[in-house]
Amino acid sequence: MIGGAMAATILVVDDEQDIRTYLRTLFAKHGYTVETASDGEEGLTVAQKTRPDLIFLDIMMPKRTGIMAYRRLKKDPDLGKVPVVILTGLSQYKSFFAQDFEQVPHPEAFVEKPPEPDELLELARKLVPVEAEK
Amino acid sequence: MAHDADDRVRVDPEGLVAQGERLVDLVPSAVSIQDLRFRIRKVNRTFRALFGDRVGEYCYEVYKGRKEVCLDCPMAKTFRDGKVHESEEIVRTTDGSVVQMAVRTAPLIGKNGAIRGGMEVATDISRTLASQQELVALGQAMASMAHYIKNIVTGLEGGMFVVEEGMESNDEDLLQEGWRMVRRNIERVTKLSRDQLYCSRERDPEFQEIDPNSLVCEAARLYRDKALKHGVDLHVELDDRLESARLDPEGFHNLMTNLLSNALDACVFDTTKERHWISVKTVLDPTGELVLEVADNGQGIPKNMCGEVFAEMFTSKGRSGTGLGLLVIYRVVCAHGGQVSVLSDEDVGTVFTVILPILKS
Repeated sequence: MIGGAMAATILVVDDEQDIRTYLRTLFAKHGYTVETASDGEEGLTVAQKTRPDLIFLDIMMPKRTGIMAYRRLKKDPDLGKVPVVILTGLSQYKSFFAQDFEQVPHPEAFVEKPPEPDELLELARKLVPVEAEK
Repeated sequence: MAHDADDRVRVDPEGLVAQGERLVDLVPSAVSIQDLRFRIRKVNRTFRALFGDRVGEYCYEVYKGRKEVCLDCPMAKTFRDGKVHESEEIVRTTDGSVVQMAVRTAPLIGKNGAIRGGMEVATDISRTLASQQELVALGQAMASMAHYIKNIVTGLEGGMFVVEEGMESNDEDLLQEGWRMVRRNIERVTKLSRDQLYCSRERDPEFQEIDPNSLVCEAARLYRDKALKHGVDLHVELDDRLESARLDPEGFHNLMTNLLSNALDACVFDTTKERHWISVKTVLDPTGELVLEVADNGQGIPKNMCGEVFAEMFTSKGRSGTGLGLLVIYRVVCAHGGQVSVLSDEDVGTVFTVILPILKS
């Protein structure tokens, strides 16, 4: 941390433990504070508690909790402004999104799995500098 | 355009009608000539093979066992407008099998230009439809497989990254965590290839007299640690009276591991309960069959999906499953001449019951 600014917080929501560990290690190494959640419900709770600067959200989680979390995040008066990067294993994610999220603002970015670490870092840097204005 | 039967007799001094009839007999479709009351007047050989010699009976009786003309009957439309009509019909043949037929009806026009009857050509398309469904299933399988492999690759890449990070920063815990990720994903890809191989190869089961309880124990042993790690209790209850059965050990092992890994996934994915358990039970039932029951109190299968469980490539695990495991279960049970059923309640749990005949050599 430079000049007392707080490290930006990234929230990773994914039901796969491996992805959570991977992204946590990657972002922590590059100076971010990382929070994780294993489903959409928990993701919303953690987001409300920690007010992250950026959210990586897996959209395809059991019981559609990823989709539910995305809708609720984007409709939340405070959290609605937090950029969301959708992580997905779907190659046809854009058409999937067009069907499921017609009434909701689109996410800031999509990342198809398997993600490249450099791509993730670049996205994170673009959407939120390491030292975010809190 | 078709001709009137009376006309044909008159203009056919050289036996052309007989030749024509022989030709129609060779057509691999059920051909019938019907009068305006839908009564069958003439049929070809394929028709006779499928439905018997039903000349004189009504079309709707023969095809559908009905007492009156079917709704939306293509022949009725042909009688009304004199045009060719097509439809797909499900009919029952004399051997009791239900087949799907593509039906085409054409008018038979008399000398005065009036419709005097109709010709119906019905072609069995059940096989074509089955092949189409197989192609659709194959497409879905490829998509779901690609999806699943992407996850494994992500897990492996993530594992490598975490291992490297652990080495770089001399962090033993991180190193261990990364290594666990690598191991877990290698296990997943191994299981996937084993299931794929099991499903794709034409393998004759190799039956032998074996103690089914020992096979159940062996599989349960493989899953006990994994279950504990996820906080899932695994109970096994064996019926000692089951001494031996004629089973294909490799198939049975695959059956067990798939039932157990499904039960474990159902528990791991479930967020509605504090404690989870899997119970495995064998019973020698009074009719002398082996009953294997694998129950869990995991997330259950949504009601609207229950009917599809044994359709190829069914999965309720979103991107974490391929549905291949269920196909393996189904195939193994079929190879043993048994039955499998599933009872499930969303958020309550699932019970898979497999019943296998104990065939002794």
